[in-house]
Amino acid sequence: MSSAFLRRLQVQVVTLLVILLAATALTFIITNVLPGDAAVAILGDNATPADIASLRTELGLDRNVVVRYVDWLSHALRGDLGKSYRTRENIATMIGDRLPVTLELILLTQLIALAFAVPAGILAAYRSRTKVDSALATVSIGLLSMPAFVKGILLIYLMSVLLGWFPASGFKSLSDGLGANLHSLALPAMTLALAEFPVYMRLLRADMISTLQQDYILVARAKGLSVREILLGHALRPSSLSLVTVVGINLGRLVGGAVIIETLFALPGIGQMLVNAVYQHDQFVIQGVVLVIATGFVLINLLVDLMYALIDPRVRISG
Amino acid sequence: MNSSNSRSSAARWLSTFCAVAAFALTSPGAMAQNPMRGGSLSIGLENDLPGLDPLVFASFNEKQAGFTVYDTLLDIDEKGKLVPKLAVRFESAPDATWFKLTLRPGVMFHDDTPCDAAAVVAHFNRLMDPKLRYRWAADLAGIAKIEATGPLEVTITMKAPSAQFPAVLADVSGMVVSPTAVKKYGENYLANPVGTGPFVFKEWRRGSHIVFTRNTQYWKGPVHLEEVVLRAMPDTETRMASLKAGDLDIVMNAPAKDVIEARGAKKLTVLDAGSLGSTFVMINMSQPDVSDLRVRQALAHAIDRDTLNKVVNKGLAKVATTPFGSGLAPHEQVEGYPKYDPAKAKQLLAQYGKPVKLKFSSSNAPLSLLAAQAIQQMWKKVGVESEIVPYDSVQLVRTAGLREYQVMGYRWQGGIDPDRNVYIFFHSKGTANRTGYSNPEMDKLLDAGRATTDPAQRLSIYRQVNNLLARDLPYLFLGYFNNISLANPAVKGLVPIADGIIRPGEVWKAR
Repeated sequence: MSSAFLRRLQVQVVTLLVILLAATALTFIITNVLPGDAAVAILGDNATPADIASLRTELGLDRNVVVRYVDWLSHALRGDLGKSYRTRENIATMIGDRLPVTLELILLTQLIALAFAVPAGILAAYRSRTKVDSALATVSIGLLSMPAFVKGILLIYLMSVLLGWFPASGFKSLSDGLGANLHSLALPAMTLALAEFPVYMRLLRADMISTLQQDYILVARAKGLSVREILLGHALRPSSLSLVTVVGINLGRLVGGAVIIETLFALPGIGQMLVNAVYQHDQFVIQGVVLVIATGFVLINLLVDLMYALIDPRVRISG
Repeated sequence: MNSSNSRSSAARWLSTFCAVAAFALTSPGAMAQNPMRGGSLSIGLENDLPGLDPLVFASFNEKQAGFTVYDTLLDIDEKGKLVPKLAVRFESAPDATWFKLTLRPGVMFHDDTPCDAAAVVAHFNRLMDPKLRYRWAADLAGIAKIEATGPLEVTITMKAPSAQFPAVLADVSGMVVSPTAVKKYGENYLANPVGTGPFVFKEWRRGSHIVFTRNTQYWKGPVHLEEVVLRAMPDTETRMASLKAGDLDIVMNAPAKDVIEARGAKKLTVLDAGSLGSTFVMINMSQPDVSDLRVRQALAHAIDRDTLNKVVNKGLAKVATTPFGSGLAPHEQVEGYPKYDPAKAKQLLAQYGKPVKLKFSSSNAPLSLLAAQAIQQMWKKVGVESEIVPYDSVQLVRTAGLREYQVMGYRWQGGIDPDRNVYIFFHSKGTANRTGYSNPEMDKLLDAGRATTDPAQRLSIYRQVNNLLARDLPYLFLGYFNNISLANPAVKGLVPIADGIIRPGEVWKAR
């Protein structure tokens, strides 16, 4: 592997560490600034201020925020993310249980979005400025301008209350069978995919239109290649650079979408876990989830960079 | 101690129990259809639970799990009366300084540990261990000593007269846990509950659902349902959609708009269980302006609670004038609670003579904010300016506890004994006195309410409490809570009990 590539990898790793430090420190400070804390959340309505003060001391919440952050960080570096204040579960275990649900949801979302976006994008480019193209554009804008929870509720009413095709909520794990598992994730993945599909389609369309104007496409046509061979064999790959970038970056962004969708569809992923933790001021859980999301985000960016090299040979050479 | 007197009080208890049992047997619902065996019942909860141990039980969600896997020592019936459950007999001293429980013989926990006096004593000792920070520790704070006075007999001695205490045994504190399981699992008991209840814990998928299966050895006889699934579903729309799609059997605390819709469409069963508590505007008596009685009266006169109920609850809730919900109905009588009268409000404010500007703290939940905004407008009409300060639920509790507010929209889900709705809030030494209200007359009444077990006497005492609250106005009552559940019509055997919890041991499903 080239030295340029290794140098870039080094930069990426340093960036990763800086981002993780910044993200976790910022989260720690923000959750700390919120009035009310885990002690109040645990003891609730019936507790006297004295009860709350004594629990704060027991949980170490009365210590300085910097001391607490450093303490948390030193444990986290040793792989110990601590325990939830609320459920006393080990946070690493909690994340281990829930991360696969979120990952599966995101993966399915991307697959569904791409399965519709790639053919639609090619079609829109090939038939650009026709009725097909403008119909697809209208659909895209409609889907983009509707918030995820509205799309989710509409899909629930249509697909489960009226048609009864999919369950309205809930999660079946792989141990219940792949069919049941996919069935339970279908609606939430479709809801998320409906927001990704238009972006991917428009992006691919734009890049494809400019590729189709290149000289080599003209040559290919002159050689008598079929439309299918030209579009899929010659034009798709060079047109998909921006698409790959955005699909990659969106993996991280989708975790944000999962927060809403997991709550709406009652899925036991890290998004719902984060929301509950925020409501309950369960600080270490918030920290753990943020750490995982931030790590994922940075790693995905690194991966996208590597993917470029595979798709575009020029990146490999110039570094 | 006067034993002849206590015997007679026990006899009264027993006769009440028999009357209730006879009523249950002849009720038309029970005669109409024979329960069918089998089936799975799924109940939608607002949130996943912190644990399945009474130590951490707080809300409806946890209590629902509690009534599935545990039995309480006593229970309440449809009329709000205490009835036997794990305890078959209950005696109280005439001055309510001690209580004697006789346990049902032959009851076993799901791990085959006998549920005897030793287990019950161990259970209470655990809840009272200050290190474990039991959330309802205040309910047990009055206990001086608890001991097994026979293999199935438990005697509880109180520090002071405590007529309110028995009701505690029908709530979270009465959910007896297996001492063997507590020892075996230690801190992990949270996720491995063992009770004597109609269902045995099977599986908990965190953030998603909890499964319980039929207790085949249940002391009460056969349990109809095969299993109960409690599902954590934070979104209200999703809960309702899942109920309509048939993925869910029961939605607890259904939103008013869905209850109205269900009543119209008649496709779902509406179970209105009534309630024990109320919603209100709480007043910090030490704050400027509101420390003056005329201002509090004016604020009360300015609130049109009928309109408020229509705006916020679609008219479903009942307008409140006391701290006692329908489950405590006989206590709901008051003289002189300020009626809606904006002219009177203006007059009182004119007498006060200074402009009134308030900071109105409220929960940021949509319906609470809606109520706060409506009240803000009503106050504005009589010339009171107010600024709404929204808080999330945890912050609201904290702000209330520290008395860092002027006026605040608040709620109390209520207790089974009237004392639970007033003593800790309005006694000058009450542990949850968040208003700073202090009135020797009130203290005397509240102490007297604890010192007698005579229902007629207590009724009269709590009515006087109501009248005093209406005079001094530390709370401006808005509405009584209403615990309305919606259910798939195939679900039968639902009993409306004012604490709003479904008793799954009685439920069955038609096919």
